[in-house]
Amino acid sequence: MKEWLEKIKTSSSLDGLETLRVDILGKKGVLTKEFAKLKDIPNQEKKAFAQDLNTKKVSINQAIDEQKIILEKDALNKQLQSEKIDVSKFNNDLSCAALHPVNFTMDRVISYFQNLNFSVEEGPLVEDDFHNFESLNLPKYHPARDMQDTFYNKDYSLLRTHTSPVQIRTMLKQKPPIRMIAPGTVFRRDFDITHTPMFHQIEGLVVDSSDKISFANLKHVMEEFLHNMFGDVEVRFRPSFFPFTEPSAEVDISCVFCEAKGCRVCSQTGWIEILGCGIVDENVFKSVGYENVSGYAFGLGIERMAMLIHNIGDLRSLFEGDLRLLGQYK
Amino acid sequence: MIISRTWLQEFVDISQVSTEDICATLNSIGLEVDSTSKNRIPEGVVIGKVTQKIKHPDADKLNICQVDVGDQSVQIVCGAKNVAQGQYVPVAMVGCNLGDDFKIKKAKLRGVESNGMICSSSEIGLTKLNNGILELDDSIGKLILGKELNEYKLLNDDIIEIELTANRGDCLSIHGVARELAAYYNLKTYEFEKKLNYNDSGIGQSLEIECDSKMDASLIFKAIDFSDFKLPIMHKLRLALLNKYENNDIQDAINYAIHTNGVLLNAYAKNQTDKCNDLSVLHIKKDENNFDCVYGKEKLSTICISHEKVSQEDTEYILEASYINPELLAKNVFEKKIKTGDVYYKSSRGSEPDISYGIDYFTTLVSSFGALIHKGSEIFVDDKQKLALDVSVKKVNSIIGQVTKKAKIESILSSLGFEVREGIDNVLGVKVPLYRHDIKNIADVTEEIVRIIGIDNIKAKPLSIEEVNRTNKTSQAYEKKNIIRQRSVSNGFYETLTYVFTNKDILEKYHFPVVEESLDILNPIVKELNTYRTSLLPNLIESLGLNVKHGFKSIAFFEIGTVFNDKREESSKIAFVFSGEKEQEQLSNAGKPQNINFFEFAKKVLNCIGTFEIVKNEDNEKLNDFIHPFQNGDIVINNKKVGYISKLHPSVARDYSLNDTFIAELDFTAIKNNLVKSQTYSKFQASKKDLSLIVPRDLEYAKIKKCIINLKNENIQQFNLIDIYSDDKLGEFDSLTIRFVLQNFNKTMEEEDITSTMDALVKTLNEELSITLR
Repeated sequence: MKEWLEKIKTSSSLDGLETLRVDILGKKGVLTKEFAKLKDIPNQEKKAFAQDLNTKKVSINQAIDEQKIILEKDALNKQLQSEKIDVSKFNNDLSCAALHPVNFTMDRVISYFQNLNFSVEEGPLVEDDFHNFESLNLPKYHPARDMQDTFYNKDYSLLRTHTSPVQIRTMLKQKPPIRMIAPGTVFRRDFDITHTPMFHQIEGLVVDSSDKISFANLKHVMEEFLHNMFGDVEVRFRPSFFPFTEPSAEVDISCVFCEAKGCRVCSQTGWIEILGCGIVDENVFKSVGYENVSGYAFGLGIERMAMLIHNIGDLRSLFEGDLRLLGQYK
Repeated sequence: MIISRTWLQEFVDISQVSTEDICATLNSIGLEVDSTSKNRIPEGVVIGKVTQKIKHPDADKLNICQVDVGDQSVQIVCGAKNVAQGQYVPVAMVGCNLGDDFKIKKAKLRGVESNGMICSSSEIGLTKLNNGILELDDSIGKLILGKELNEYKLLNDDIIEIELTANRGDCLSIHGVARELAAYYNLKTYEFEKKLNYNDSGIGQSLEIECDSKMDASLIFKAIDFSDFKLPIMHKLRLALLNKYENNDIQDAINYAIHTNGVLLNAYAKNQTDKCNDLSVLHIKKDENNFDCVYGKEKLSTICISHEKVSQEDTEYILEASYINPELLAKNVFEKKIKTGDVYYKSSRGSEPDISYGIDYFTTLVSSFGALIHKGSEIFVDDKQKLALDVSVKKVNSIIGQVTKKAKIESILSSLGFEVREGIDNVLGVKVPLYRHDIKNIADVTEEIVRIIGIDNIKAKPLSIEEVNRTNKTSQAYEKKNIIRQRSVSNGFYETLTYVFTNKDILEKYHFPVVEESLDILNPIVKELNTYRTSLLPNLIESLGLNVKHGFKSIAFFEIGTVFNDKREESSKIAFVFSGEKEQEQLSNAGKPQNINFFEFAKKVLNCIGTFEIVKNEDNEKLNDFIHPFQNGDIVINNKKVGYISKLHPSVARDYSLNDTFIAELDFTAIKNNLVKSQTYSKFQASKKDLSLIVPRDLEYAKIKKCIINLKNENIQQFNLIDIYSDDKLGEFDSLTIRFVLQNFNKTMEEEDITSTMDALVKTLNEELSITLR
């Protein structure tokens, strides 16, 4: 008996333990054979013999179960050991790609205004003089046309210099009230570190009945928008001039790079110009046949915004598919 | 537009206002401040007088000067050519620091002691005037020997550069800006006092001006004798500040006056005029382009457009002040497309219309510095009526969105030079000053109010709106676009934006369509961007090349954008390109990833845009030379060809130094974003079965696929090609292994059901395509 228990305790594998169990308790096991002897034992001794066998059986079973638990634990430990890896070998380079920072910025602006229930409108890139200039109170001889060096086609059509023609197209197609933005590609003949001949704008227009829309409303929507895009910045309005709005304003935010202390980006002024806006000029409404309406409009350059938010130095690299830049936006 | 504090002070008393405050005001009233700077002359620079100048014995270019600096006379060795006895000059005394650690010390120059330096304007921190020393005169204030120059206010000025919007021609002068500041600070502008020195003869005795009746210009002419005229130093320094100093006293005086009060001036030397019986004659008439011109012996000027530089050869000059309505002028210039410059910049934005004020200012200026004015003038001026507007206070307030009281509106407009008359019902009768030709209606007047009360003082108010559904086709398309963009990025394609322009040579070289010549860009910015793209691919391939140069081995891009056809009609396309290694260098590929292949590329594109078929099309390679003749196909969605997919032709890949590269381009609108409708599915066990078939190598797999689909066996849920094997024994045949997923809707399929399905399949394949089992 002692020998068996010793064998069980020193058994080193689950298989070995099972063999022992069969040897002792199996059909032909030693203990089973002892039980078989029971029928030959005289009656008065039977009880004691049986009791002894049962005690032995119980302790052997107990020993086997205990050893089994130990061995199973060992086996699991071995498996665990064998599965050991160095997790620091993980390669944490993202293998997905990234959205373009200009489009990504545009998405944020669009979704902001969609949440305010502005519709999204679009128009063609190749425009005519009427939609791009005339209807926007920019007659042919207007000196403000100098501000926008235009690409012309040989048939005298042109590439839109701003997204404002979409305003005109939308107003001609729909009736007030109008509440729209027009995101899109625009073109001007400029090419240097902060200007590319193609860039992106978002135009906004709200038109409702006469006297309903005021400069104070415009100021509200612009302030909220800029705080949403740039966080806790100061917003400054400066009266300005655009042919299609009157009164007009340019809007600055306090410089996000130097916290308005003055730096290279803000030319030491502490302010960065971010968008233009104003009350829609009545001549614009006249050109689309609207009467007794009021409205405001605003326009902003996406690249400029992306440059400020994402710290982009040279605009030109944005349109070359340069992975040294694009790869950073994963 | 450059202004300075002391120059403004000549028109309005801003002595109580700091320069910082002025800048903040300029910004808030719509005259944007670009930059500011302060001229400050260093301490230790004093006024001296050169009492003696002798040549340095040992140096040709040096002079030994004795300079009286008040309490003493100092000896200074000076190398400037223009130094002369009797001059008043700035002297940097020994010990003075001229900045950048340039400290004046006692020195010996070629053996001669020198105790200080006679300075040029730039050496003491002013704008450079000439190559020599700065000669002072009392235009800067009374000259006191030994007095520190930094005590002279006119030399220690604050300079502000403002950027003007195209409507504010009235602020292209110091006087104009002063007018604005006076209105804002509620200050009076100084009255101008006319003071002239006349000579004996009247203008009529020597000059005749013949003027056609139908001229657009308002003109005044004066005759001036400039014999003894000398422009003082302060005026020269101010012109240098503007970068307009020409060292030509008459021209400089004209430029000075124009910048000061905004009236356009010009002068003609008497010897340029036509002669008639001792009289000088100028003819004013239209030229062939209908522009007002002045003729003497020849054409002398196009009024308000191009003024020639004044010659210095004469002493007698005829001065002209002119004004033309900017709109009239601009229309004509636009129609005739003539070249214009500085003068037109001013006149087209609206120069000062009060030309008699301009004449008076100029003649007073030059006459105080030696010029003599002939009595009388020749005047050709139409009476101009001021624009009258009815300004409803209610309307103004509704545009602004808050109440400004009538009295306040009245006072703002009056201070800006408007004539204001009280009318009935809260309506003001307003007359617009002539110099504000940009103001035409009540919105313009409101802007004036907004400028002066300050936008900061307008309280922002949310707009209350009625709810309207504003989702439309564009916003739905945008939503679809965003889903596809996100999926493309997740599949490893970088979003790119390339120009809608491209290089026509490249399009032609690779046989892409080009926009018809008559519709192409007239004025491209560079040759590489001289036409419209007719495909997204050329620019994307160029980007790939650029990145290869930068050492990238695995590059994947997509772009959604506008392309043009030969008729320049716009459409929206999406393109994918993938070049080189199919994944990152990493453990799993031992740092040697394989290059991407056609099927892997197609699968990636599929995962981005949703399902499509690839159908062989022999004609594709004729579309353009990017397409590989043996690795390309149509992209078919809902049985419609919408684009193509291909390996990049190896010769193009070589041109751009690219590894294996794949391309795809299709109509963006063809991609649908349909919502998924779920199908009923079988609840019984599915089983898989592989078939290996011996197939002639040139038999299209599409035919096998079609044959299996045509069986319409409802037990075949799905099948995929999982292996292609070939060896010598198979010869011209491939062994294709197809894995079938079999599942019945009503029961678990038994072995015999599976066998009978597969047998039927093999039989059909054998009958229709002579394909046998391996």
